[in-house]
Amino acid sequence: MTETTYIFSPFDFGEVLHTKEEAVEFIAMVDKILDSFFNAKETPNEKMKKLLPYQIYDYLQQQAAKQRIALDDKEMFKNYLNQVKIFVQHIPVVTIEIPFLPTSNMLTNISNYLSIYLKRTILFDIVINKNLIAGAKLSYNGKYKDFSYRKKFDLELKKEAEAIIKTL
Amino acid sequence: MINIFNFLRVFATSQSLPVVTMLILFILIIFATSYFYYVYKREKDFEDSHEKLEEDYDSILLKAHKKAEEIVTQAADKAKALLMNTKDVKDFADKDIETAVQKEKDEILQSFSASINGIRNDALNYVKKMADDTQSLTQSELMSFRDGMQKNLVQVRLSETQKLTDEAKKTFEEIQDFKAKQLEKVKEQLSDIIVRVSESVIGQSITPADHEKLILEGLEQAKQEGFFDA
Repeated sequence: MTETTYIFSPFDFGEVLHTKEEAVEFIAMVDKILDSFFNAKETPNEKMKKLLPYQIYDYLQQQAAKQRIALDDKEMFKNYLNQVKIFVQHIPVVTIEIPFLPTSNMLTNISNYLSIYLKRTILFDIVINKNLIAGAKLSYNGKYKDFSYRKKFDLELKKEAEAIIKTL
Repeated sequence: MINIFNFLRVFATSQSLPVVTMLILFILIIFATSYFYYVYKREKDFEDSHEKLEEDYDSILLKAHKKAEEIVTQAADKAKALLMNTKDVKDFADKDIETAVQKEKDEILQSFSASINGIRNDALNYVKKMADDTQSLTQSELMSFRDGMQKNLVQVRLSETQKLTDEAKKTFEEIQDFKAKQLEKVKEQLSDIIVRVSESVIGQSITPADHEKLILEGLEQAKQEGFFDA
């Protein structure tokens, strides 16, 4: 029996997964669901409902419906989950260094902004660095750039300090 | 001898034997008696001479002893006399030495006193000569000495001035160096203070919305710089 290959949109899962940490947790849960597939006590759907946060569970159900997955069909559902797992594992990651812990809403806004530009879902690997003052440092595909205000601040401060010292 | 035995044997066997035998016995007795007397006499003479010899020996010993006593007594007397003479000599010698020492001592004292007087006189003469020599220094020599001293003083002053100038220059450089270091420290401290204060003030004054806006500005800048381009 040949396994069906499902086609995913580049924006899939961008609605529920914003960070690398969330993606890692999601994959770990999918692995647990796949492990319990042939457990007679509970169905895969029940296990999924039990393990996943409601928002993600709901989103996954919708996606499965779009792909016309019969949740009762264990083999089909298993095949689908495996492909979901592979898709999520391949979502690009942008490392972003910022001076504060972002709110969920802020994270969604930033993620959406970048997804639209890159025309696909992206995940943020967030690093908190309070020395940055404001702005962010970015790292993507082996490239690195400092867009924080720390750099600007240091340059301005140096000018001011030298001006003050000259008057001494 | 064989003939004598033969004769005796003939007589013994003859009829005249008892007379001959008696005669022979008589002769033998006479002979034996004479012999014993002779031995006795010799013995007696020997004993007499031995006794005499012993008496002579004792007499000689006694004489020798007496002689020895006499010699020892004489020797002791002589030794005593000699010792008496020796003590006299010693007493005489001691007295002599004492006198000689006293004499020598007096002579040394006299000589020493004479020497001291000589030295004192020499010293007085020398001091007097020195005083005379000093007095004989001319006014020009004193002036020359004063000029020399003044020159030396000027030289020393110049040298000291130069030293002071060098020291002052060195001190000035050290002060400048110290000032520069202190300014550098102030600069660093100032920078640190400004950074810390500014960070604190700015960090607290930026709202979450501003933060979001600034991050989005950064992303926009990254977009424009082609940071996300493949």
